[in-house]
Amino acid sequence: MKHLSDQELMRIVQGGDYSPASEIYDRYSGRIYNFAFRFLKNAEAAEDATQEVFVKMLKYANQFHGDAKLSTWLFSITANWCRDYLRKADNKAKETEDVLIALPAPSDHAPDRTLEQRENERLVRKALQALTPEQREAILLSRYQGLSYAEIAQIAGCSEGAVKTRVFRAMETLKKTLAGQAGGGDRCLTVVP
Amino acid sequence: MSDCSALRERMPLLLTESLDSAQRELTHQHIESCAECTDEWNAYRETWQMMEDLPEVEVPARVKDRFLAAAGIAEAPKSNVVPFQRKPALKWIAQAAAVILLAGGSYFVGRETTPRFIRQGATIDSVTPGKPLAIKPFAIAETRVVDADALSPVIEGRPNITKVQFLDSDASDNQIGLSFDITSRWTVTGNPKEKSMVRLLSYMLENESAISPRSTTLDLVRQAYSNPANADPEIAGALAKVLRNDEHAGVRIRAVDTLNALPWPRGRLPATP
Repeated sequence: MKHLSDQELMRIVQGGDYSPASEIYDRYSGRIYNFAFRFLKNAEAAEDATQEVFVKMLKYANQFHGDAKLSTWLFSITANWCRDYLRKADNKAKETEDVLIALPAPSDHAPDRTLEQRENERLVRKALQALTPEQREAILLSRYQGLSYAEIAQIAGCSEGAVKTRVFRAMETLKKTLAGQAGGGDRCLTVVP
Repeated sequence: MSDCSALRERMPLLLTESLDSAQRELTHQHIESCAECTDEWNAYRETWQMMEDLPEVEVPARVKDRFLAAAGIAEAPKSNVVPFQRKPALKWIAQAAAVILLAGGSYFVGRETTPRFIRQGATIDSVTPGKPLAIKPFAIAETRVVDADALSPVIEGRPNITKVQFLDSDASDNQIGLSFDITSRWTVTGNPKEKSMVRLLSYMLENESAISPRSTTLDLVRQAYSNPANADPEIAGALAKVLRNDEHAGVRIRAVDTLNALPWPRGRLPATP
């Protein structure tokens, strides 16, 4: 299976044979999970998202026509799932609590990370939370998934111009929040008399 | 100023290298000539760089299990919690009775079978002491029970822990148990004559299935044990089992070749249990 392209694997799935499911999962689960985890700020929800995205991929395999990349299609499903998740009022109410409880702080498992990197990680997470979901989606897909604005527009269901604006506004907010705070850089200290 | 705001909107595109070469050149030229935009560009780059510090998180293995189960491709993972069952009082009574029987029986048997001393000139020199059992700190085992105080609190790397069970047979003893499967990577190095190495390779030859191709192990065995100094009957016995049991003709042929390369008399394969 490893030597087959995404399109070839999907053709097998479309024929009713789910044997490539594991291979497709191995190729994309990391990216899907990380996108959902950063977007939702909740590890448990990211797990559910990852599982359901791949189940939907099998269920709606015939809707994939091969004119787009498989990764773009999977990110579309993921983004839809995440937007639905955030729309639900009870999830929104839980969100703040989950940030405190469910974030596994992956850096805790990586002893090689410096204190500076851990502090930056905390700041970046906090700054990403300050963005609107649309901005967060756009910047995550651009910065961490390396997708083009055309691909992001396809995923978000908007124009490329709208993506450009979202990324720009996201970067403006992040810049204001993060610039000058990087560990090891110059810091502005406010002295309280 | 309008130039500046238009160019600043391009900065994210400059970061993702999405601008065409002409626009990229124009934007860089402006940044170099405008102090405010230089500051702005530096802030963008710093922000972009800082975002690098958000690490990739590994997908927990259970997600794949759940997906495959939901898709009907694999069995649903079993519950990882074992229901707690207290030992009934009768069981304690039965255990106590068993201990009494064992102790009494041992005393009786011991008294009846104590050997008489035969004073026929046996000297300490005529007795060959048995080789003491070497207790080594590690053993490759299917299951292992370890006291928490013998376990280092340092967890090395990110081992994959699955099928966790929580054990608490006696709530009053302030002891809990955690039982789990763990996939860890072992590297064993040593002389081919080491009994541990011989036993490990024999086990691999006899049980290898999904571990790695058996032919790889056969090649290693041929290379290491064709030297007469390393000859070991256990290796030859394991090869004989491969020869008898492996369903692949190619592997059996390779096992014969390996056996022939070993310093054993031809035509006398060691017996297998």
